[in-house]
Amino acid sequence: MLKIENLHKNFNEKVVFENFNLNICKGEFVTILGGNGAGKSTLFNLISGTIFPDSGNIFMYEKNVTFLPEHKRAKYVGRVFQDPLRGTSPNFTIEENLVIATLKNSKRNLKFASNKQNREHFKEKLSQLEMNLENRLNDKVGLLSGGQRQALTLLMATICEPRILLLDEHTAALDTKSQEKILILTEKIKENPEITTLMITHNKEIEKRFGENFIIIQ
Amino acid sequence: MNILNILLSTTFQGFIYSVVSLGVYITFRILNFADMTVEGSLTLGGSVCAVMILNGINPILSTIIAGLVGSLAGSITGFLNTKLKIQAILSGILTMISLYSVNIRIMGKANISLLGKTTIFKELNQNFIIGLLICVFLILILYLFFKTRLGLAICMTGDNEQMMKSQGANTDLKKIFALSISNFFCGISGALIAQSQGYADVNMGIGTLVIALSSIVIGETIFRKKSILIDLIAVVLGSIIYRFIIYFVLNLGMKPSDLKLLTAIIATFLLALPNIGKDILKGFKNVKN
Repeated sequence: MLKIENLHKNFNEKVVFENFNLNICKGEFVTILGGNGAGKSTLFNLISGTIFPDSGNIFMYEKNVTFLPEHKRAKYVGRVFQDPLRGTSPNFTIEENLVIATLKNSKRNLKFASNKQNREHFKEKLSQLEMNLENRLNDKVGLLSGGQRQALTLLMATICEPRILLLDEHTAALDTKSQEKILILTEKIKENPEITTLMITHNKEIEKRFGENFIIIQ
Repeated sequence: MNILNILLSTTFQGFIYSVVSLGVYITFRILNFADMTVEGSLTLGGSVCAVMILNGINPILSTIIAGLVGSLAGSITGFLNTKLKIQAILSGILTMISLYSVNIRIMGKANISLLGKTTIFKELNQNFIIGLLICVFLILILYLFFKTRLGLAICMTGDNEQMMKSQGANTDLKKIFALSISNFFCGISGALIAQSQGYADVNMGIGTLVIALSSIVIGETIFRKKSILIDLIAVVLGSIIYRFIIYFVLNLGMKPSDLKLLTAIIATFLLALPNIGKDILKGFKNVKN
């Protein structure tokens, strides 16, 4: 479902990708390994449309998305960053953050943002995180811990079932306890046959735990 | 002038200047965008409205058109910033500077008088009510707007743009839209100011940004940030308080030309207060010990 053909990308003189090819099937969980500066995050940026390649093509379900801007591609791509602060809006409530995440596939028009129906839906989803967030819908996200924020980010990235989920060292900034929670949530996502996941990690244990398919970028 | 008249007229001034403060609140506080267009779009609103009234067009319609023209100016700034990738503050300055020429073109000269023409303002008591109604109406509209999906998306773009992008929002359009709403308010405010003072002047916008910011900060100092509705009401009250401060200072014998310096000092003081307040308190404690 994700196909990358003859990808080239240079930053000034530095060649990051040369004739790069990749083919990933629907529902697969792929772990991406490689040293710092090898181009793992660049690959994610290319897939999510933050940057565009110099040449080559990127297909998602046969659709050529190589030069589709980031916000148009976001329908298909969910992304969680290493920094828990990047994926949520701190001065808004948990509910408001989730509302924005559910609007990925619909228009942000003049309808009222929150309603009772989706509040129940959010409570149900939040209770699956087992962090007692379901009773804190009206709390500002800035009040949550890093682990809670990252769990919320993961929920926001998957609440609309993206076709591709990009996890960029999403547990690296957390303590071991929060890390474990996020990893359990990640395992649940792994079992979902609709979501294709690419995960970057430097952690040997996580690598062993999730590794069936590896890509090593050098 | 008796006390009641002074109260009414000063509060009225606060009402009509609060409209521009509401606009600035949208850019500075919600969108996190230092928009300098304000000073130009306020004058633009004033001059468009004045010229239309002089040509016999209904003053209410003229005021609304003035707002729309203001929002056009705002969207130009948004275009410069998002599509041409010019820094926020510079985009605003570019639009503001070009509006200086545009405004003189519109009026044909540097200022025009509305003497003897029918405007939406007549006598003081009535003006006060009109000003109050305009403020209540605008606050309600803004409040409801920020409860909608689009409104929420705009607020969050100001809070975490990266997140909104990965949530599939076209943040460029959101910014342009917010800037045009903000400058819609500035245009309306310019039209109201021109009608209340009886003339439009090419320099009427100078210093507006600092005045608006002072009003916002005064409001925020008195009402701690709670909800967006309280914030919006605080902006209007801040604007009224600012007008009273100005009134008293003028009565103390300060020249009107000193007001801009004074406004800047008030703004500096209030903006710095939350940052250095704690340090000063600590300093006092140390001295005591």
